[in-house]
Amino acid sequence: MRTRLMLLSIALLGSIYFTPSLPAQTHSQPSVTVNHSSGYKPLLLCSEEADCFCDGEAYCCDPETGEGCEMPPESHVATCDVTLYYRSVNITNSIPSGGSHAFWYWEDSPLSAVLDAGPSGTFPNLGYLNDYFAFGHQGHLAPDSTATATSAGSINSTAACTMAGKLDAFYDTWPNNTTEYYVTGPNSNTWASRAGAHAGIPTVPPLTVWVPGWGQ
Amino acid sequence: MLKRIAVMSCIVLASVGRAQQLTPQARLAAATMMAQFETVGYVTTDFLDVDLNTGVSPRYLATALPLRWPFLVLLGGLKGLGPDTVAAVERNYSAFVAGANNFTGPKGIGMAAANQCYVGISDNGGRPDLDVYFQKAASEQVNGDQIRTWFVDEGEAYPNKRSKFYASQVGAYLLVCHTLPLEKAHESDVQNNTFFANMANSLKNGSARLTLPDSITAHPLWIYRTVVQRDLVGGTLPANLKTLALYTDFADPDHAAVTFEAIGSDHANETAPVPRNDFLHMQISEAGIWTKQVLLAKGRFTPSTDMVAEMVSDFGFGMVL
Repeated sequence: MRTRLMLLSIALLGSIYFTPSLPAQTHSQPSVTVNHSSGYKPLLLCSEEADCFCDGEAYCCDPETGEGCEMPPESHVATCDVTLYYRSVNITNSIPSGGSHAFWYWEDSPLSAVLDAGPSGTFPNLGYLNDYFAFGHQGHLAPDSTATATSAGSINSTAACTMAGKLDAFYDTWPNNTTEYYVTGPNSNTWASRAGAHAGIPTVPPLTVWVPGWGQ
Repeated sequence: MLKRIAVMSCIVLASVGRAQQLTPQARLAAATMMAQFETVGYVTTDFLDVDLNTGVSPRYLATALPLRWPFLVLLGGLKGLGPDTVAAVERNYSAFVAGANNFTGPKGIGMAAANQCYVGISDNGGRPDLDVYFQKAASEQVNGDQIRTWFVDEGEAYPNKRSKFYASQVGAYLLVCHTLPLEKAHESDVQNNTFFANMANSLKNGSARLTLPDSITAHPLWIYRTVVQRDLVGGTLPANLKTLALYTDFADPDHAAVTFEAIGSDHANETAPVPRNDFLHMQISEAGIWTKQVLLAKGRFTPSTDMVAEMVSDFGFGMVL
């Protein structure tokens, strides 16, 4: 239901396509296709009673309200943000265990998303290292929130839009239910480091906290 | 490859000794725990002096942090009564013995939970006056003894669940126990109350004898496990593994080493009782005993921290990240 609402709202925005596909054999999560900005930010008003195009992409134009898009002027150069976050994994009564969990966040206005990974199973069999995607500022686990986690570094530029697209692609192509999960790696931090490398984002693990599995 | 290099370099480095016999009070506490629990650990309280918000210790190597896992829930429970309670307990009890069994895993990310008890050991053998620090806890009568109880949230790994804590000062000891994360506030109360009362009586009567060798217990931190439950967070321990031991000294923070021992049922040494983390590459040191020594690095986290985390996981305290 949440996916349908999301799909509907995105379609209404008229600038982004989100196409859930049938689960792939190796990926139990819905695929995500977000056309990240590539230089122009589409405007939301037009007067034409037909489809119009922005930067090679088709967008619907509502003939009754006039809402849709038009080619923006050069000054509307889009930038995106990609940020690596990490946060403490806490135990009873918020006592820090000492270990940290890393996750990715991208922002391509008006959309944003959190991408991360974790075990597919529960005790005693943790299963496989599977990945997760959630629109907004919070991941599939509540503590993976940009409001409370610590940034390990951020890139804000037009190039970051391409990086965000590559993070999405890494999420899409990660073979869920294939890589056996292991406490000290491959784990969520392994996935985060590989996703960053795939996206061409220069990252180093946070030096002052323990992020087991990073770089494996 | 890095792990292999780290392992190889650790093999040739000896630990820095600071052997010290356990006090009679500590021996009784450890023996009492051994009679009830699968995993028993001992730590001098200075090692638990951590910032409750960051988990960082101002005195000890950050890379040693997984060694605190068996004792962290105690800090979480005491924190539920206020940060002053944590500080007061740490001031008045110079060492703690922890016991744990019935290990279970988190849902999603977090650390394994267990039924656990802790015994704080007073230096001077007296009963510190800590009543003011336990005011927030409720008072209950169990088998005629007054005990303090309170609840704390378990957090992200066990959403919407709480643990019940029990505490009582038994002579020179502070006994603290807690339940596994509970669905309902008073689940298993009768069973837990009885268990707590029995633990308190065992400490009062003082008849248990510790059979562990000094080679393990004469260290400021040690953990010992007689393997019963083989399914743990992260995998299953081999069927021929009987006992595990881990000990470390912190006399020289530049060269702190952790020693890990595994003893199997096969004393012919044909089959190593090596736990699932075979990257530890344990070496046989004497008949039936397989060992591994890891030197903790100073400063930046390294594979040695991962190795120690693996070791501690084999005692039941695995963490899912």
